[in-house]
Amino acid sequence: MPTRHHFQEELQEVHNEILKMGTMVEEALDSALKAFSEKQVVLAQRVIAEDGNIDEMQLLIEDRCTLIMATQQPVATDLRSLITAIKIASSLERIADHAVHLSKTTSRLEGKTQMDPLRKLIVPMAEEGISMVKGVLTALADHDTDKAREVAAMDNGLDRTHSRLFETLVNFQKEHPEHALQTTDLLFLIRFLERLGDHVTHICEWIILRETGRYTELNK
Amino acid sequence: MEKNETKLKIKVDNLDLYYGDFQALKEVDMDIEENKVTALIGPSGCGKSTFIRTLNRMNDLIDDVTITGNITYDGTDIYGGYDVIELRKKIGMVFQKPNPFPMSVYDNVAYGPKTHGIKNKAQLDEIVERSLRGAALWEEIKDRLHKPALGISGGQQQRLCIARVLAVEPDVVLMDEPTSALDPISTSRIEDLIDDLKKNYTIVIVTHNMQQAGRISDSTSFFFEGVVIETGPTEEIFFNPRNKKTEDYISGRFG
Repeated sequence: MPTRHHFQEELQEVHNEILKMGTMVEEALDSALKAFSEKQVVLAQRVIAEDGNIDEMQLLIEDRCTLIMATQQPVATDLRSLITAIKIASSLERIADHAVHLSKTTSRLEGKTQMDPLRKLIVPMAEEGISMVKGVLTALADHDTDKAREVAAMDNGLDRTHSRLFETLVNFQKEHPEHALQTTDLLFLIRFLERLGDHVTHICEWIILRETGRYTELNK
Repeated sequence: MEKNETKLKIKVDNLDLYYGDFQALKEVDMDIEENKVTALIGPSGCGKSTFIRTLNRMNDLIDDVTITGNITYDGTDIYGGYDVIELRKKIGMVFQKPNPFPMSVYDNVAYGPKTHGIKNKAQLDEIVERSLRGAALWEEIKDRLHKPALGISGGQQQRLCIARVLAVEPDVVLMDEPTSALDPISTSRIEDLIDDLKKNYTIVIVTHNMQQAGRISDSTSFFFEGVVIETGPTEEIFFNPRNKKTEDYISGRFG
């Protein structure tokens, strides 16, 4: 008969909270992208306003893990799941910050219709990044290291998209110096989206550490 | 001087031990390295105490014990004509409950050397002081050397028992749950002491306290039903054990 029911419940709660936080981040990104592609500034502002909830969730998970470590002396898989929960919560929080960046750009581009063609080009990159986030959340929920590797491998595609868009944006900037400010905003945005892929990759690495006890650097 | 290469102190090969018909140890292999702390963990009745007792032939005292396999100490077979008195001088043992003799602190420590023929008072004084210092007890007890050993605290008694082992200049110190009867502060003192002792001695310790094994040992072996399920560097056993049974045991989920 298994023992330590209470401890097991505490670990399960941490896992559930990570998944809940992941869902919050996913929803923030979906809303931010919808706001960006459909020019819905009110929705973008809501994403910005709600980011505080995600920050709070990160602190809650960190506190809970710290408390469990202090009181339960976890080892092996239990210890790894708590350490990686803290790491994953931190990466999720940074990913959520990119939903905020996307939303801020949406607000700043309000009324700048000249930027519409570029906006359309960036939407697929954001979709690519968001699909990585959705994939990593599945890997997280299913304790699936194969899926984690598969998701991390998508990062190369995102990097390529970034390089391509970078070139496009720089050329646009040369041709339209009058839109330099907006173009620079978009250059930052694609950089943030590229970073989002890196954070997802880190989460993939934490999943592998949690499940196997081995550090694995993905996409060196 | 820091040395990376390790030397084998005790080698156990294919050890089987029976109490009558009951097999308490099954095909145990183990390499115990010099100047390391080896922790033996496992649930009650798993064979870890039986095993540690085979290392200085304490099981010889029990009737109806059959032992097969091989244990070599510094390359010599300890069951093949090794003088048992000499063996137990080289491989000393500290037990779960402090068991000082009902005599003074001084006489407890001097007892072993006297048995081995040392009569000179100055020499005995020197041995007593050195052993008590070695057991981190000297400063606390130097003014009470001639008081009854049974009158000092449990933690001090246990360190006295360690001093008593050190007095005969052993090479290996076996400890069978040496802190299970002690409070946390006395336990920490013994753990610090173990860390100091391993510079000069090879230590094998049986413990029921997982965190203790994690804190003090270099290598950990997990015993279950007389079998060594897993042996490895302690940090690996506690971070990433290979065997599910080991994991269940160290994380307290044993059925």
